[in-house]
Amino acid sequence: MTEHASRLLDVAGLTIGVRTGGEQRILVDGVDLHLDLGETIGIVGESGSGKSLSVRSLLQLLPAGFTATGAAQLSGVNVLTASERDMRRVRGRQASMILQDPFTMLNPLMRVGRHLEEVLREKPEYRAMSKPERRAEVQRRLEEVGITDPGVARRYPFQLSGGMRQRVGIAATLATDPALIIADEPTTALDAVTQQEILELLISIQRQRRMSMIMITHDLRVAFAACDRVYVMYAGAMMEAGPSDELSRSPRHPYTLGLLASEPPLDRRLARLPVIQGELPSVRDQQVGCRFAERCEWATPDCTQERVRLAPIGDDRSSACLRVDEIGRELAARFETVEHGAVEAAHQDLSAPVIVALEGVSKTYGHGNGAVAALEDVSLTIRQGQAVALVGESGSGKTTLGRCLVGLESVSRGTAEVFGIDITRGAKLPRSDVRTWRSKVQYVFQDPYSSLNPRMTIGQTLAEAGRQAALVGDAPVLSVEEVLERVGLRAQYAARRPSALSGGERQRVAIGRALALNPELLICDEPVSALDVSVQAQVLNLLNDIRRETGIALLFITHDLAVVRQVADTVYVLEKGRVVETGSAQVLDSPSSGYTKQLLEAVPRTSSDWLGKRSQMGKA
Amino acid sequence: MTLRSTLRYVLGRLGGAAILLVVYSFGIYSLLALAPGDPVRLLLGNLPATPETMDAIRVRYNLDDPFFVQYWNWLTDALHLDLGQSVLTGQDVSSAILERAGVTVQLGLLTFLITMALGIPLGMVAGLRRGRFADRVVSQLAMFSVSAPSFAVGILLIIVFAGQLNWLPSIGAGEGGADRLRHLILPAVALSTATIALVVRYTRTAVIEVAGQDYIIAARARGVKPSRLLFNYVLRNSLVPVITAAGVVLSFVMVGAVVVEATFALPGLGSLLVSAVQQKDLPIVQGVTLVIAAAVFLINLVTDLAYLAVDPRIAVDGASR
Repeated sequence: MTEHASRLLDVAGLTIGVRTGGEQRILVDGVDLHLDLGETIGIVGESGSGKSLSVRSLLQLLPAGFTATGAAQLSGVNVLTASERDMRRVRGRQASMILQDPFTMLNPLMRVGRHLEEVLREKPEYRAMSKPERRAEVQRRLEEVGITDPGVARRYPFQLSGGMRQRVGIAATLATDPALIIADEPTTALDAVTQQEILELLISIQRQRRMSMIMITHDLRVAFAACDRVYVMYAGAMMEAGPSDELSRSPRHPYTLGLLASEPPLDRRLARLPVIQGELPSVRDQQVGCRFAERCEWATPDCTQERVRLAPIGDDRSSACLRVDEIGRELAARFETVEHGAVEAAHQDLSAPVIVALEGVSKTYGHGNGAVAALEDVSLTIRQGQAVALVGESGSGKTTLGRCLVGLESVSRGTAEVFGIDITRGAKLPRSDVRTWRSKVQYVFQDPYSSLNPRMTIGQTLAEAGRQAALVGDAPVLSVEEVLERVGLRAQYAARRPSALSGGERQRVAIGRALALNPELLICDEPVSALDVSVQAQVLNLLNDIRRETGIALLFITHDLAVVRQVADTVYVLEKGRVVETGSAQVLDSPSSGYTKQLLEAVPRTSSDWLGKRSQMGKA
Repeated sequence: MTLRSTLRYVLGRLGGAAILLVVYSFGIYSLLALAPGDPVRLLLGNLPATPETMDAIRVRYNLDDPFFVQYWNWLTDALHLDLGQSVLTGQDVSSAILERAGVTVQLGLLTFLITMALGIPLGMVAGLRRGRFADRVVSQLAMFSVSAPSFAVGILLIIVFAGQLNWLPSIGAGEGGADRLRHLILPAVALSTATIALVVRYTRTAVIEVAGQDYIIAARARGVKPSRLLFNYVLRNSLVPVITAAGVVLSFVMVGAVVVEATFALPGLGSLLVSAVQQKDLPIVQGVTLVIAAAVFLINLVTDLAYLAVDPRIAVDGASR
């Protein structure tokens, strides 16, 4: 960091509230942060932390009904109170924003080039250009974000891949040459390899243009690798702030420690992932005291009664923990044990009977020239009680394979036996076989928000699954209470509806619904990718516990190799519908396929060399 | 999308519409058999019911043939634009329709223009000012106008603007040109009260949906001018549902014209149909119904083509299907 850097942004006591039903709720409470010219800061937090709202308020882009108070000076303008007219000079020129989802960030009816032109036209030097010069200018700006194909400017957003769209989004955001760029989860919706490329691109552009950047992310590793300093938010309040490398080595707030610890390591399998107890509290009125107190094991009565605010603790660091001095040693010691937690070897019984046997399975969509192969010549074996991971990026065919195994998709070619039933026969199977198949194999979907019927209570959902189990009738049916207990929920949950549950609780219910049928194979399709890190760790532990207790086999479909490390005995790596590598979990230590190596390389790592290589090459 | 795939798409849609129209025509022709009483007496019209005349009718309409043969004959004639003759006046049905179609088409277009010119801006205002005063006023008005039957509105308009104020003529179609327009204003306004409400609602919903999208927030964040935001972002992206509404409006106008033309004594297809029904002039009823059905099919086809023009994504999906 430069020594006499001047301040670009200074936020003090930023508070954001929303009025719903005559009641004022505080979503962001007294946030302080600052940013120097040319600096990159990260704001990290789980969902509900208020990180997105905080930065949107800086451009007065809060949804209707939200109000922001406090002070926020951006290049000398108080952006919280400035008029809409003044804000028009701030937006774009002073600060501009990249959003999370590249699929919704661009106007679907406008060609790529127009997205740049419409803001470039605000510049006198662009207006003075001739038509070919203007075209060249748009082209130059697309090249800056790595788009060299001149045809892209004429295309519509829907004709581009997610990574390409995000590049276009970045180019459009940069077209106004802002001093500050706000990136709100810019890579969350992208595959790991694309995420790495986009982050490298952002950082190299930020360095070349000497811009400042605020990066919002839920992924601490991404923030540490990409940012000079990191702020950690929880439930609308700032918990801790400090330089990336120090924060990643020695957290000074129990929440930061918890977040760091819940992140599954890539290089070893832990007997148990450390978790933060409990769930995010629901938003209430303005409250005194630490919002994390009720989940904090170091909390004392003082923590809930005294006013807490981010306070400097030396070395450019600050923490909102009241007891930071007292528990500093304990935090450090705990962090040490997390870093060297009890390691467990992957164990599997390779003599167990085979329950799923796929041989040369292919799946194609469409006919003739337009046919697309989703799976090609895939062979896969799952044994009783085994945990198998199916790894790949989007479009690799991993979900298609999982759906074939439960009959949501049909197999086009090859042989496929599940519990001895030839599933390639599909609709021609006798009813009894279909019932056995359906009860022995169950599926947990990625999105816990859409996989539960919102009109049914949890009890009704689970009881319905139980009735299905009773139809087959060869195994004892689990009662609703038993199912809830198995997935770690209290019996009272039976009366609630999905809307009253958090994402983690819903996913527990979805797992419970699958278990209610007493299956022998549970297919989990990205079951934790929609969840926050701390909740993800809880669900992964739950799945491992269930496996240990019931001896159920797992097929775990995921893009996340660190998650694979924590649950799988055997790994299959899929690329464009083909298995490119398979073996025990040790595949992650010594991959032989170039694709697996690429995937491993792309997993975010705390150290800055994860992103450093390519952007440094660019500089040389 | 290539020209070729567009063409293939249009031809496919036309083929589909043709098949549906044939099915529909079968229903229309069956009216003759389903109508209460003897079809021969129905077709006699004003002629005296002597055995000779009745035999002549039977022969002329092939009534002794099996039903499907009768239908086939009627259909092939209809394809040659021969829809038979009015049983009352003996006039060719197709020429009667041609004579009356002009007024109805003009009324429909005027109604459509009024509806779109008022409905889209009002819907946008309501959507952009959601929950505020302007939205509440517009939404209440829309609610009120959708529940007002067009003949009642028509009578009210006649009393106020033709009777009390004497600004505009109340009946007839006028002499063409400006006079025709003066005569069509009140009927068109009466007909558009309900359709404006429909367009307001579709537009309002679409605008609310679009205004909350990420690309609007992103565009605001990078400083896109408010006017561009309004037209190139909000309005253009709201257009697809609005086009759906436009198709419904046009179809509704074709049907609603029946009542409104009767109210304002306009010599259009609607009043032709009404009088034919009253006088049990079945060939006219069949002919007019078939023409209206064909028009509705055509409107739907044009609506679908308008989607292609507005949304490049539909162009690709639609054509590859």
